[in-house]
Amino acid sequence: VENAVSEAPYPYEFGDESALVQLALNDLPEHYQDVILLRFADGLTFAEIAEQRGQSLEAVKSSYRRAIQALRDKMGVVT
Amino acid sequence: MSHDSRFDDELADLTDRLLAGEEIAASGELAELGHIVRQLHSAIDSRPEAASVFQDRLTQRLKQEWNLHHHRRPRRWWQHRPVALVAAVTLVLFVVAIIGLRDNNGDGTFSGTALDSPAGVVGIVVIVLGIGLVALWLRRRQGS
Repeated sequence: VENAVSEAPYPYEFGDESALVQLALNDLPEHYQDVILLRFADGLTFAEIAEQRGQSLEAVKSSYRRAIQALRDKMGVVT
Repeated sequence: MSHDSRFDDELADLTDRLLAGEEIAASGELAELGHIVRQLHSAIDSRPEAASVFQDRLTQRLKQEWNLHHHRRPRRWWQHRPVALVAAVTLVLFVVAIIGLRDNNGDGTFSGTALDSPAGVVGIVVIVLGIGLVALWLRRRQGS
C-alpha cells in the first residue's frame, strides 16, 4: 500500500529544544494554543487579543497564564 | 486585586518585555514561567514553518467562529418580507372567499354574523390587513 503521508522533511533534530516546545504546544487544548499563537506568532498585544475574541483583558491574561502553566507541565512530562 | 489577577498582570508584563528584547529578573514561579516564555519565543522564532501549521489551524478556527456568530445564513424565499406579506394577504382573501361560498342563507349572506353583508366582509379584510401592516411597521421600527 502506498504511503499517503506527506513527504515533507521532518523539521526537527534529536535534542532540539524547540521540538519539545512544539510538541507540548500541540498537546495543549485549542483555546490555550490560540492565545499563545496570537501573542507570539501573530504579535498581537493582550488588549488586541481581548478585542478580537470579545473577552475582557483580565480574562485573556488569565487564560494566557493558565496556558503557559499548562505548557510548563506538558514540557515537564515531555522532557 | 486578587493574587491570581496580580500574577496574571505580572506574567503578561514579563512576556511583553521579553518579546521586546529586555532581560527580566524574576523569582519563584514567575521566573519559571519566564523561562517557558523564552523557550516558546525562541521556538516560534526559529521554526516559522512549524508555527505556520498552528497559525493555519488557528485562522481556520477563527473563521469558523466568525461564521457561527456573525455571519447570517441566507434567508429562504418565504422569509423575505414582501413574499410573506403577499402570502398573508392571499391566505386572508382565500379564507374570506371560502366563507363567502359557504353562506348559510343561500343568497350570499350570513344571518347573525359580521359577514351578513358585503360591507362586513370588506370591513374584516380591512381590519386584518391593518393589523398586519401595523405589525410589520412595528417590526421594522424595532429592527432599525
